[in-house]
Amino acid sequence: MLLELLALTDVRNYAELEFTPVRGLNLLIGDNAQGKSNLLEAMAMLGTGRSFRTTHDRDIIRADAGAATISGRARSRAGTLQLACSIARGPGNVRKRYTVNGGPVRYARYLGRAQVVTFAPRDLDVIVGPPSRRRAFLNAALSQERPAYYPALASYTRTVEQKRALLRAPEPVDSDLLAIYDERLVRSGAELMSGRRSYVAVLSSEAERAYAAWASDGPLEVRYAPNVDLGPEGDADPAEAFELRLRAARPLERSGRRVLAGPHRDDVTIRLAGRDLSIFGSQGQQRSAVLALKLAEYRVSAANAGESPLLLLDDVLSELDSLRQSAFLAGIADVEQAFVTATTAPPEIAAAATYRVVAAELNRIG
Amino acid sequence: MKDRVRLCSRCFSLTEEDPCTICTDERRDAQTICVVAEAKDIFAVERTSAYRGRYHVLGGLISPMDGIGPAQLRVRELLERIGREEPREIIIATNPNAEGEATALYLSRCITPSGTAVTRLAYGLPIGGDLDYADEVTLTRALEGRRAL
Repeated sequence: MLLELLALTDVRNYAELEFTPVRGLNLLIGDNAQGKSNLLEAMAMLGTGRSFRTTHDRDIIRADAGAATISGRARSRAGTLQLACSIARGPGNVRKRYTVNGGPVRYARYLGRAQVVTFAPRDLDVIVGPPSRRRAFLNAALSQERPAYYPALASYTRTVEQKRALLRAPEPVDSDLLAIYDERLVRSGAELMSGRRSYVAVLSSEAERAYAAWASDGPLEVRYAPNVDLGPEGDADPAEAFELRLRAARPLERSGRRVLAGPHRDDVTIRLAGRDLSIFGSQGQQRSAVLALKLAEYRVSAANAGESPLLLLDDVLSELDSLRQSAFLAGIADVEQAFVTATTAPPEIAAAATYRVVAAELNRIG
Repeated sequence: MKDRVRLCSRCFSLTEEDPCTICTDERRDAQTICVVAEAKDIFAVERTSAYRGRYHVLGGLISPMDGIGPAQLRVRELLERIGREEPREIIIATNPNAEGEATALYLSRCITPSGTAVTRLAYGLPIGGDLDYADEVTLTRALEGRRAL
């Protein structure tokens, strides 16, 4: 994936910007709060339609502006792609629109056109944060990888909300309606579980290999920990297992008025030498593990798509020691294009182009 | 003008005369009832000129999040109407989203014991579209809903 042109209008601190990056490593140098991360966020939004920094889309619109527009031209194996994503202030929530090659498309059809892998300091939460952060990591990766995943996730999430409201309503629970919600949860939930199971399987072997390449205190183990028991080998049919689990959980769900069973309560366990990394790991080990996970995400995406995804590294390389920095850079040596932000140029990096970012202005300096 | 618009006592569509002109039109097939969420959905189906049956407006979709259960919709009225008019077929034309699907399944469970056939609008490919450009979910649904030539 090669981003040939990025154009921003009223995005964060950028009033207007046209950026024509080069192939290879693009290094963005600048002090804090000048617009480095905003640029990376915009690139990620161009690919995924979502920000990796905020869930409040209105934050992305420049102060006093009515709408933000991010557009760009990318070249992939499939050919040249014109993408645009715009966010407009509305009376209630914001309105988002997506276009591919000039034609408007729904979000589900926008996703996955341009594959993006992002690595930012807050990704450490994937290791030390609550299970929801690990599910969010899986959801973001799988929504790009598997076309059926995002529609299943949207339908599943909505149905869980409806089922929860039904269980909590003051009037007696309509058993027919509850059964219908469960039936629909099984349908969409099975897709989530099988997607997560196969994705974590390939991700874990890549992550274990990456970790072992620069540290000997492993092995790093990454395992899918589904809420629905998929059997001792983890290979049970997700739909059948989910149905059984729902039947068993029903009395408790009704009396407790909670939605207890299903992949909305999934987790991923991450262990180092058999011990839970989030509890027993040192900060250095946790950082190495998230680095290994991100490298694995990049490699899996590249293998699945048959071309390297756009790689966005937001202020993470400078935090690594030189051993891990070079190990990571060696792992992404085949990247077609990457964007790296830093306050000062990391010594290990061989950038194809270096830009200085000052007050939302970009100047090439090397 | 506003004072004269009310709900049809049979199908609950918006009308100036009760029953509405669709319910009283003898050329229309009384054996088929198309169930829609809102009155505006009738205009969408009517624009096709492909449907010659009658309608029933639910007044929304089942959504516990918004405090809407079957009791808040005209489900009981639909079942009474089926008992009274004994139609051959009920066509459920709700949107293909989470609420529309759940409502369709719910109605199908309620109606099936009466012996009346229940059908659902097919999911399919847009006319003039290319298979190449169809998203996987739409294509999967279109495959599931395929029919003999």
